[in-house]
Amino acid sequence: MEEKGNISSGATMRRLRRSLRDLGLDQLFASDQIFFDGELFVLPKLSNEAVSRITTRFEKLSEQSTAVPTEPIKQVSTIFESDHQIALNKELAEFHTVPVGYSVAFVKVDQ
Amino acid sequence: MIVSTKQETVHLGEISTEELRLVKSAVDFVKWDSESRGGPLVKSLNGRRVWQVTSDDSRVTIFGDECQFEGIYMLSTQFIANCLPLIKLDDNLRLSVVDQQITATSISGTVTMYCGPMTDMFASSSQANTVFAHLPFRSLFRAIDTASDLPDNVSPDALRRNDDPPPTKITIADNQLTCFTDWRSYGCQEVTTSTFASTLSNGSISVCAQTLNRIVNLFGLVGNPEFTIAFDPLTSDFVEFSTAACHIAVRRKLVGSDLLLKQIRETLTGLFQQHTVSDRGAIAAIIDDYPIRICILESELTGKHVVRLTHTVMRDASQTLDLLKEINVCNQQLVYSRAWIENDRVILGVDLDQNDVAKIYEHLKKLASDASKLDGVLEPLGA
Repeated sequence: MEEKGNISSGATMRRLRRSLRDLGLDQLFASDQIFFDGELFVLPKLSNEAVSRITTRFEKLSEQSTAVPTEPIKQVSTIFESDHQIALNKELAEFHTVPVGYSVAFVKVDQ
Repeated sequence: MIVSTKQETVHLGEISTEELRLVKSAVDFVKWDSESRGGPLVKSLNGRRVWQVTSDDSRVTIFGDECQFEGIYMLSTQFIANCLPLIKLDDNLRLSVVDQQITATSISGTVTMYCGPMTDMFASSSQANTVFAHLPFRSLFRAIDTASDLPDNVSPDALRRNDDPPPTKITIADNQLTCFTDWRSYGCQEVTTSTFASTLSNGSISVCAQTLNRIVNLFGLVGNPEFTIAFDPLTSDFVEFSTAACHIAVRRKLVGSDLLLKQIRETLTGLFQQHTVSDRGAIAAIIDDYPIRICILESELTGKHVVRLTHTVMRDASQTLDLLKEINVCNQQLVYSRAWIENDRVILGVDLDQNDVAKIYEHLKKLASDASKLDGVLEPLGA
């Protein structure tokens, strides 16, 4: 295995983007991991929009700091968990009509 | 407290027959065995001796006579049992502790056993009850006993088939306390009992019938003291029965929508599926990257439950003719799942019968799969 590298500069980010582009979206759908800069990235199944979002997010991070925090896998994971949580909260916040003759059941909720 | 020159003697006071019998009842109710290392705790609280006997599913507190001593002591269940023959020969026992040895003394003699290390495990009730019933002990125990007692004519086969005892539903409403147990799965009939009570607020809660029946059969009280039953239907983990001499809290049995919610959450947690529960009990879960809402609905007519799974396929949709036609085509082609428009959202959903909840994950996967088939199909038509 090559020496591990951290995502630390705009140039590295461009390399990551290039690497992602080189992999191709079809391949990303089929594969859940990529090897980049000596580090294994385990990726969930990514949509076109998700790939765009993640690279944009990395770009913003690299712009904000010359040294992006290490452990990019955690960054990826956090971004996806956060996006999922937003989606979950949206599903719960929206009003849903109930079928005729039914009501939403009262339940004991342990948070 | 009397301090000897060699070792400190702590006097726990005089125990009456009634108090000792209540402690023995509590010990029998909790059913500790020699492996569990449990035992009744005793301490002095506000100048009165207080005993506590607890397990995960129940908590019994006995209020004894006036007494003042320091610390908390854990006695063994066997010691309590050994005190009973001793107290038969006298009206009172005197308890004292010296160097981790507890001695019960009556006019007929003594019994001495090991007394466990002092612990600080006294639990207090923290639940906020909203529904209350006040009624005499005999009326309460009659109503509970009749409803929760195993019918006489249950066959051994029926007992083998039903290893989980049924719930007894306690309802407090309009100056009445009602107990209901459905014994039909045992080949018997439903039983409903009621009794007059002074009530505050209305509500229902369920407790394992066997647990309730054991309370009735184990706890005997002198006279006919006033009892209070208290709980909150939505938030309580325990139903609390209290009188001046004792407080008994027993864990509720989840039934109906509460049980469905628990089963769904356990399934999602067991499969490591990311999910969130709203304060009203709706669940949103990520299944194969698709957020799916899970909502438990209750029939206003029968009280039966349906679990509705929905995924929002599209937001900010315009109800164009093309979109409606495409949704119609989808509904023709999909099995189980159905699509519809609600306000400006296109929803894909499926309804599960309450008996199908065990297979909810398969249905969630199927809905996520159907949602993936609609990816990018509807957006151009409803933009």
